[in-house]
Amino acid sequence: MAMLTVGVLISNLTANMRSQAKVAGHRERRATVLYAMSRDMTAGQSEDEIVRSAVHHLYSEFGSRNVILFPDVNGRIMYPTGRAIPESLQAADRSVAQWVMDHNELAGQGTHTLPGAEAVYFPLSNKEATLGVLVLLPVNLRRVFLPEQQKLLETFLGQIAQAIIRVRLTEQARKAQVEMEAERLRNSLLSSISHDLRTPLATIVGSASALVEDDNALKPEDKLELSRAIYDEGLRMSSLVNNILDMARLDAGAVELNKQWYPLEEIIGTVLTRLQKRLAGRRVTVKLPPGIPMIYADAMMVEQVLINLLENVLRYTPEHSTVEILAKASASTVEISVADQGPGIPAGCESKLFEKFYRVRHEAAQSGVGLGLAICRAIIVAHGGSIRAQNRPTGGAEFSFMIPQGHTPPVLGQEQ
Amino acid sequence: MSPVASPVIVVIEDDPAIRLFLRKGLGAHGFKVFEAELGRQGIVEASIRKPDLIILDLGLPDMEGVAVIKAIREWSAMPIIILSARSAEQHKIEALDAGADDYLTKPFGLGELLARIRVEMRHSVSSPEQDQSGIFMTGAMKVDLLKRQVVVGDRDVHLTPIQYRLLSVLIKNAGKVLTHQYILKEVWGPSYRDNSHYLRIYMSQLRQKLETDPTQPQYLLTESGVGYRLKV
Repeated sequence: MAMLTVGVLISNLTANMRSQAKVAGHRERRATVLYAMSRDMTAGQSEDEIVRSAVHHLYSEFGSRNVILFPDVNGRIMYPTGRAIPESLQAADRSVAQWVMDHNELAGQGTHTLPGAEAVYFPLSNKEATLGVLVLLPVNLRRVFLPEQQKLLETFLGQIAQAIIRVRLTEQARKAQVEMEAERLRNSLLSSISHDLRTPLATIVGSASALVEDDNALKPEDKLELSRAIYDEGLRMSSLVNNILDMARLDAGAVELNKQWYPLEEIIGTVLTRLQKRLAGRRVTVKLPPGIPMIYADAMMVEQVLINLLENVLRYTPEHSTVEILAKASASTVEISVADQGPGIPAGCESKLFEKFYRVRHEAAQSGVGLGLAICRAIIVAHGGSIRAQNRPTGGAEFSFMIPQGHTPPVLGQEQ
Repeated sequence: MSPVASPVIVVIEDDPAIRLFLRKGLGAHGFKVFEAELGRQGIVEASIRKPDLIILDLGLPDMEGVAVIKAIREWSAMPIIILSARSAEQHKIEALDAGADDYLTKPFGLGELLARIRVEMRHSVSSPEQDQSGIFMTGAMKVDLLKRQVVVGDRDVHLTPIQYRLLSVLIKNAGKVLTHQYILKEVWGPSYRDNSHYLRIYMSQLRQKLETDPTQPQYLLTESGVGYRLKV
């Protein structure tokens, strides 16, 4: 009898120990699974990344295909778009998911609501709101609804919801930042435009009114002077408006490059002809190494870059000072520089110069919206090149831009 | 005043302020100006006024500028100068290839317009190559079209056959803008229409031989995105 009692006791104890060991084993495994899951949930940088790894973890833990569905802006559950996830469930019922979304309650197989559905639908929610619905197609219902397993699934859902909220908040903050930046740009554009367009407009309206309301009091030379002011300011406005429109077109990506092979001297020649009147009185030296290859570019765009650089020289350097246009070629690039003898660039401004609406001195008499160099940079970047500003060791500023050649320039055969 | 009738210009432009400026400006320089707001009306004016020249805005509300040019070209070779917006190079090229003679980009000054009109009027009366002497001169450049001799200053310039042909096409149309397509067709023939870089290379060679500084050309001007013009 004693033997029997001891035997039963021991056997009970062993069974108990075995079951305890089993439970401990389960617990350890669950801890590992949870750890892996929570590590991925914290590391995920985007909603897509989080959803992907969640689906993967759910599949490996519960052996069930599954999918997470989210509502659109109107709260209507949508099927996922984009790259399919290998473990993803394809046959979720959107109307069941919608019910779960709206009621924030469990539904589907093994539940009290819509038990006829093939899959189980879990709300994915935090305290404030339902974010979406997890649809799980159980291979074995017990594996999902065992108390331990259900607890694990709830923890999973909690972590997924938290991770999604986290990336959504980050994204919101980033968007707000971008919007703030855009707002700042808009404001700066508005203040630039209103100042720079109003000034010439004031001259035009004022001078024109003096001419219109003239009761023969104006001397002919006065009339001429007023007319000339209207003409000059009109031209200035025209160039400002062109700059603003160019920048808008470049920003919108609406510019298609018409790249062809051009001799550099033709591009420079066009620019110098165009600026001939305004450059009169300056010494312009062009130094092109003999045999410099043609460049593969959109000529009108590159001309615009040179015009903007030369207009800056006209604006910021003393009259009668020399301006040099230099070029050099390497095997795969051509570099063109415009160098002046002006005051140079204030230290630390070299890269800020190319930002939109940046001006070294703000309300200076020099006209300009601060778009010239930003346009240059946008054009050169569109060509796959780069542009930089630096002070010359001998004084003055130098702006250089590099354009990659892509392929070998064409050469003509000898004429017969 | 001379008994010779004033030259007649028909202006086809929908903007009243531009029409006013053209009417007053051209009127003050001895032209008789007739106006049309729409393309259809303009074609009618062009036929009944028998103008010496037409100024046509490319942005008319009722029809494409190119269609107006084609309609006029069906019965007349009268010079047509087009007015167009900036960054509309393709439209300019299409209009020139459809038979327009020159263009101006808005905004433009009266001086530029008068210079263009003078070139066109001269061309419609006589072409330089029909001059008795057969000699073309601009600046320090002198070309004897009969002897095929080119002199710049006191320097004889030797040109290759293609370079000479290119120069003679430009001289034949001196002062006028010529599209790449037109020059390629005239110099190389219709099958070379897509080889713009040929033209650029030969133009560059011509500049090396004729210009004092090819980067500051005095004669062979580039009309950016459109073509070339021999300055007169």
